[in-house]
Amino acid sequence: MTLTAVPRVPVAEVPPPLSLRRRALLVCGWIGPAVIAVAFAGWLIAGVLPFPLGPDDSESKVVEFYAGGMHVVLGIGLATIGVSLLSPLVAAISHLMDTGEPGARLVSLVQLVSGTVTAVLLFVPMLIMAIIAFRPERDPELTVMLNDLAWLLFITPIMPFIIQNLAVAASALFDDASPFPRWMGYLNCWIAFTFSFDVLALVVHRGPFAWNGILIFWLALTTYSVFLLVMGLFVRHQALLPEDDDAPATSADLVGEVVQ
Amino acid sequence: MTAGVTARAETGRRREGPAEPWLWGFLLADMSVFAAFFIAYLWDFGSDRAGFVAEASHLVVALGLANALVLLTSSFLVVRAVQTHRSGGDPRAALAGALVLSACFAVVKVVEYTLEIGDGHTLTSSTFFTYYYALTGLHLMHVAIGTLLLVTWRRSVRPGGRRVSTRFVEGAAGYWHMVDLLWILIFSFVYIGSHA
Repeated sequence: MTLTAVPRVPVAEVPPPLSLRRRALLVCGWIGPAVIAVAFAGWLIAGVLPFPLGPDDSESKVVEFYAGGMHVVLGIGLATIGVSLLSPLVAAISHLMDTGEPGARLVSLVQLVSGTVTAVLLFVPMLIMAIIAFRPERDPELTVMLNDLAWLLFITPIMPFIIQNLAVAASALFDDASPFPRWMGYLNCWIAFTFSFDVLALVVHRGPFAWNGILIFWLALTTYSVFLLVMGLFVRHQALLPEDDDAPATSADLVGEVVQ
Repeated sequence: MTAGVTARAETGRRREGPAEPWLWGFLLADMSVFAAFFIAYLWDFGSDRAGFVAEASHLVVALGLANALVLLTSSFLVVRAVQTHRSGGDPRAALAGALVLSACFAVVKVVEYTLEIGDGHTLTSSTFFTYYYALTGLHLMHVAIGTLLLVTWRRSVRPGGRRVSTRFVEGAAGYWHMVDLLWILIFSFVYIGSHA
């Protein structure tokens, strides 16, 4: 290749291509809004939204819902795909936390582990719903039991997510070199708080504290969506920052600099 | 790198108001969730006034009032501790007082729970008691978090300890005042309001 192959557009006007790391970050960032879009689409198609089944619903209503037709199976299947998209976003958050002070690496691992457990605990209930819809002609009591299992597994295991929130908050508030701004620390603390009382769904069968209640399902759905949107867009924002501070530097990079 | 980090920490500090604006936003958002609880409570209270009044008559109002006074006094001590801390003094005595009162609050709450459960009033025995345990339990969690913040602050001012920033101190104090304010609201809605 010779100099004549240089494009006619002046080099200065062409934005430099993103490094592999930044392209990967960009994809992981867009995953946040994508989880919301795909999962919501699935739930709307299946009829889980806008009015989900509640603990107080009759046997026949529960059976009717799962026997509703192909759209139920397809919708739940789509939601399964939606929530399983989570893991790249979780990894990207830890990757960014790793660019803080070296002493904060453990907190980044905490985020990674608890975020992974959260992803699993969102994925499995969706799978159980799909299993219920697979054979809805079974004994109605079993369908109700599986429906309880799916919903309570979906709503009440809150601790992994709270730990994930607190890990992000710890990075934002206590690590001065963290890429996460302080407001995101407070936001994560608040989101953790809005989940903290979801265990009430284990004992309450109707009203605002039931698994489909406004202070349990709707509040958690809202704040979790805020979490995915804010974290995802922040990862995207970090991916598009000017290249000069590309981090984290690996030991190989440092050796390269010394050699040069 | 250390210089840059220090610079970021310094410029991030708002000097015109206590703590930092995001802390106040967080406290407002936290109280908004409680506000949603209160709205739900009042909604259900309105639909079953007689039932709520009958259930609420089992509460010991004097214990709720005692706890309101305990928290108000602790808030006063925390204000004194902030003033002392800002002037470079030793706030440990005032903080110890606040921590003792925080423990008093928890003890009174446990006594109250024991009385209620002994009388057969549990989380699921009535709508009123579901709200009672949800609201007071969530508030007790806030007391625990606030206590943790005060303990962290107090430990940091020990001789040889690394003194926490004024921003942390003001944030912890703001959180503690919120805990106090929320109890006044819970006491008003659940203990007094349900007798109206």
